[in-house]
Amino acid sequence: MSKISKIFFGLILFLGLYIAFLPNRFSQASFIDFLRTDNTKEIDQNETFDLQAFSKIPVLRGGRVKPLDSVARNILLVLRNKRTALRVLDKWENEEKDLVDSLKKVGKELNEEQSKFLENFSKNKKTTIPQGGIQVPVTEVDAIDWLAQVLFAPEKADKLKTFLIDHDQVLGLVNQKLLDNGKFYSYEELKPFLSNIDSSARKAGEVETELRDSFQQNIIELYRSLLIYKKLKHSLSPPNTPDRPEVLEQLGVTDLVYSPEKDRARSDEYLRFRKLTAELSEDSSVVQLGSEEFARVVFFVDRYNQANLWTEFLPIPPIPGEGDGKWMKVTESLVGSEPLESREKQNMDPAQFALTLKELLALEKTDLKERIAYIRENQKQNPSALFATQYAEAIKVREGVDPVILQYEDLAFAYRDQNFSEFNRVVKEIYDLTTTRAGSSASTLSFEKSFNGFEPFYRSAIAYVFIFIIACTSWLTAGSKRVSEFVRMLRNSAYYITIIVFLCHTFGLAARMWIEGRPPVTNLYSSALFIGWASVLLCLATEKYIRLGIASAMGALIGFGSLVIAHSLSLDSSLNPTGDTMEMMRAVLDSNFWLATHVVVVTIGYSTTYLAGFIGIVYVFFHIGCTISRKPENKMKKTLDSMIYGITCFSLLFSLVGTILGGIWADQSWGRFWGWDAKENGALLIVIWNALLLHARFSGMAKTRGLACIAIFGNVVTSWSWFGTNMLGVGLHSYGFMDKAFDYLMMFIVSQLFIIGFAYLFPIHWNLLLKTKNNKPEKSLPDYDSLD
Amino acid sequence: MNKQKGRSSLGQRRKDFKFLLPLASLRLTITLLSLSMILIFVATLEQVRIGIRGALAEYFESFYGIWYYPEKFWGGEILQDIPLPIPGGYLLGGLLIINLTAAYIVRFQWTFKKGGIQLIHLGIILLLIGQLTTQAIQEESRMQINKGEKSNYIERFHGVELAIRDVTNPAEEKVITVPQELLEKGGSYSEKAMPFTVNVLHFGVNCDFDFASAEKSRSPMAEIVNRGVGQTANLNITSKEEDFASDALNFGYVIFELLDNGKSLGKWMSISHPAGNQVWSQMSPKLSDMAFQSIRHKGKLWGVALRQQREYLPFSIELLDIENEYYQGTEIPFNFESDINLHLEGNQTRRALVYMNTPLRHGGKTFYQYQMNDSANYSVFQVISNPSWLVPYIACILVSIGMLWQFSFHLIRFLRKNSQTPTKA
Repeated sequence: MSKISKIFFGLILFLGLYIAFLPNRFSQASFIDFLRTDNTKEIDQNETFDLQAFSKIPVLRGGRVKPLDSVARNILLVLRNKRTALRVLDKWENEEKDLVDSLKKVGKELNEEQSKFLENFSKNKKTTIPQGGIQVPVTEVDAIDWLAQVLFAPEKADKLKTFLIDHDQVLGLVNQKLLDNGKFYSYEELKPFLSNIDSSARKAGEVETELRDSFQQNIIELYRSLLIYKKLKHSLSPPNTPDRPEVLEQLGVTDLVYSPEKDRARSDEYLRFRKLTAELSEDSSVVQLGSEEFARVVFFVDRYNQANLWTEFLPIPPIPGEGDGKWMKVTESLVGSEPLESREKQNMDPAQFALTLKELLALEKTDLKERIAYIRENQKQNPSALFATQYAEAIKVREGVDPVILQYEDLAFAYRDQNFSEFNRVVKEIYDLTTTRAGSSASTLSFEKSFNGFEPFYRSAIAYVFIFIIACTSWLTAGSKRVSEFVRMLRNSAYYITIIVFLCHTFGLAARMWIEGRPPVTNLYSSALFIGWASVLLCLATEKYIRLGIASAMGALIGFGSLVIAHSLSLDSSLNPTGDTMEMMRAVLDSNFWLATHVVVVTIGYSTTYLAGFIGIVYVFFHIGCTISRKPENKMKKTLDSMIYGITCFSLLFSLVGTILGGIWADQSWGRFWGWDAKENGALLIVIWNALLLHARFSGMAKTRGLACIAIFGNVVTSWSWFGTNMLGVGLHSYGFMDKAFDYLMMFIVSQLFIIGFAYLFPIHWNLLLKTKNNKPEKSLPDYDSLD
Repeated sequence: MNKQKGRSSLGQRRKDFKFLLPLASLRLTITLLSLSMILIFVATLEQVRIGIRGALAEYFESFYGIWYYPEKFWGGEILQDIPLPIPGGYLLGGLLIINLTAAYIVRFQWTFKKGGIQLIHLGIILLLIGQLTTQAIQEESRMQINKGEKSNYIERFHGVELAIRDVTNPAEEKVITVPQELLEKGGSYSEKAMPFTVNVLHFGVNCDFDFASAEKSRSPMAEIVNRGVGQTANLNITSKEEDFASDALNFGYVIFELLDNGKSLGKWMSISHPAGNQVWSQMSPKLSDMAFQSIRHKGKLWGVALRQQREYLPFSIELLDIENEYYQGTEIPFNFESDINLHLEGNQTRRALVYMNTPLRHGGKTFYQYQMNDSANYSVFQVISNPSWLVPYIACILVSIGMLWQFSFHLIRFLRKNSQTPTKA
């Protein structure tokens, strides 16, 4: 290899490494962050909030213990379809930033004030968005920064642009125009229209899911987003219930409820409530309706039960050795949760309720716990007894106020007072306490946080584009002999970069598996990741032996395509309502054995079928190219033919084995091997189509072009089975109705059909155009190992 | 040598079974495969309209189906009226079996090297046969048990029967059942043990029912009822087509007259609740007698009810406990589990757990965890008896061995080729 080629080769490889693993501008973390034991960047503890440490605190959301970092990112993904919020800059900020930037550009020293400004200013770039018809400067706010503001300084967070609205009619409802004000809105901007949104969403909700039009879907999405935002705000500080003062007065609780003027924090109220319950548990004789003391407790239990509904995540970890090992909401830690729906209270017998409660309170704490468990298990039809158990629990079982609540309050104070060192100290305290109490479920927190920042799939997607360009360049420059060495270098480098990127992609999958404790494919999102991965793996194997750049290019194309699909799936609110792509599995799917065998094998079947189809497309273009340039296509044709054949053999193997394994799983779960469910049928279609391709080749009915076209139609069949069946909304496998994707699916199918038509029609027309008659008949293929 | 023998035997077979040649052709295979693609695709689309059971009956469990292009699709206004015949599952399945079997005889080389291919295709034949028989003989029923109680019968999901019970002496209860086929035929039905004849006036597999009121009078069909719940609750019913959707509830109904030597005792109405007649009392106190309408006749007490077709088992199942868990803070179920005692013949009992992906197999029947109600404390099993359940497993083993066989040959050839390459160069 010549020197220039060598330099190019090294450069391309380094670029691949840079995109896939090294710190770069595409993501916040790099592989270095995983290697550090304490993976927070060194910061001055007294100068700034240690939000990186804050982001690692574990909470429970969507049934899974995860760091606050994931909560923030996932929620923003739902609200804004991005993992950041936007902040409109003040005028002075904008000017200062411009000034500082221009000073830096000319290399001038910044004074202390200016350098401090720059440090506190977001590391993110400044951009502009339209507002009131003109462009205003904004900067992106990181997810964790946004979350801290929502939790501790909601008045600030309400001003951040957090909600995505891009539907004309929905914008009209909130009196905005897309052209004037863009598509991002803050809570403050939406606040005057909340009741409008609420009533429209309610009306839309009455329509069946499948029949909703785009306005109805969008308004419901906006409503859900606002609900999530509101719940998130109250996750650590329950909402103030607007009780009328005279009601409070009558109950004698005016001095007991939290008052922002007199109390330091809400925990003052909790402590006063605890005093009430302590009195009651001492002297259970006052437990009767009509007694003043008891009425107060009832008031607070009701109040906290209400607050239980307003929380987006569960911040309080279980206390080891106590309770049922469950995470708790703030108010739940005080009074537990209602054993039945609130409306069941109507069916309660007050006398029996009081009697049961008295009996319960007379017991010792350990006996009481047993008795409560017994009643909840055996008297499910008895609301009086069930509600009595909650009161007994609130009064006697739960004691004091959980230290985590107090710590979070301290944290909020420190944040509002801009007391950096105090904030950072409390963050450490909370982290230590919560991780200890959470036990093994918190073991992957730091890793998950770094993984979030690393964004391996985003990195891979970019790198795949790069690979595709290199591989294509190698084809364009091929032809003349002089550059053949350069071409070989390009193809080799494409191959080696693919290995590097494949490692990054693999790492992403493996990391997800480790965090979830599950096989790679658990939902539609992860199936997309896996299809890309498996295709790239197969392409690497092909390219190892047939170094033509074809497999590299196609692998990159499928890899990129599947990652883009995965990303758009993660944005689909019907598939992913919480924004977390690592959701929990439904009971019937909760079988690691079958997920690891059936699902993985079927998904590999999908990816190999796609690969064969894409190589079919390559052949069609090659065929047309040869027709135009009137070159013989012998050697290349044979290579592509055997590539399609070989890969389809794999496809048939995997799709058949996967489908049969699915049948066995279905037999185990539902009692029938085959139920003609939409998804099952889809998988069967792929099997039949692959079998058809092979038999068409054996029988000689299809030559290379026919084979290529059958393979291309395989893309249509696979896409139908992967997505189309879900759009039908029937059967056991349907995950949700995704009509947004329907148009894309149709476009893809039409494009494939177009290529097939092109393959047959173009050569005929081309030859007619040239009016040449010496159109050689295609040579028949050499004898393959056929059945005949 | 082996190969030689295989080839020569193929030639002989081709001569002997010449008439099979057209049936064994690959062209036929490809045609059948293409038609199967169309069948499966159309039947999947139709599931939206008529449900999985409807699609099964129309397309998969028939020789042909008639399809109309959906109105909602592009150009639907024009195309929707054209009836398109679609080859059905029985037709294509049967032809594929013939095609494969013929290929076995006149096309496959019976050699060691091709053994893999043969095994794979044998497996496929078995799969097809297994599915055809399953489709024909599999029965689906349900068993509902309350916590702490026992049950020894299963009820069919689809299919009803009229049960006439002599409960004069509860210890010696006698039951006479009239199966759905006879109800469909109509006419009268008598039995020695029964002092009266049953004359079926109306029967249907599904109906709408409500209480008649001053504004809304009863339908002519319901009006003739003059005894039992139909009369006391002033019940109105209208006949309805069977709903094939997977979560549909089909309320079978019957209106019948009891006659003693030609003298009418009255006309009754009975409706079967698809989730079991015990549900009636939960729906309305007025309807609770639907599970058991009592008739006194000649000093004996009888009870009649239309119910889902029952099968009594030689064993019983006692529900000890149920567990229904959700992921914390979500509505995603995490586990459904029934803790049961299986009471066998001869006072033997066996403890068992039935939960997701782990059914109970006993007495030729398989019990799957189907539904569960935590607050009402009951559990429902789906019960399936499918004598051919083992066939797909055998088929899978054959296919797997066949694939391993074939791939090992390819692998060996590939490795040989690769090891030769360097010496060549």
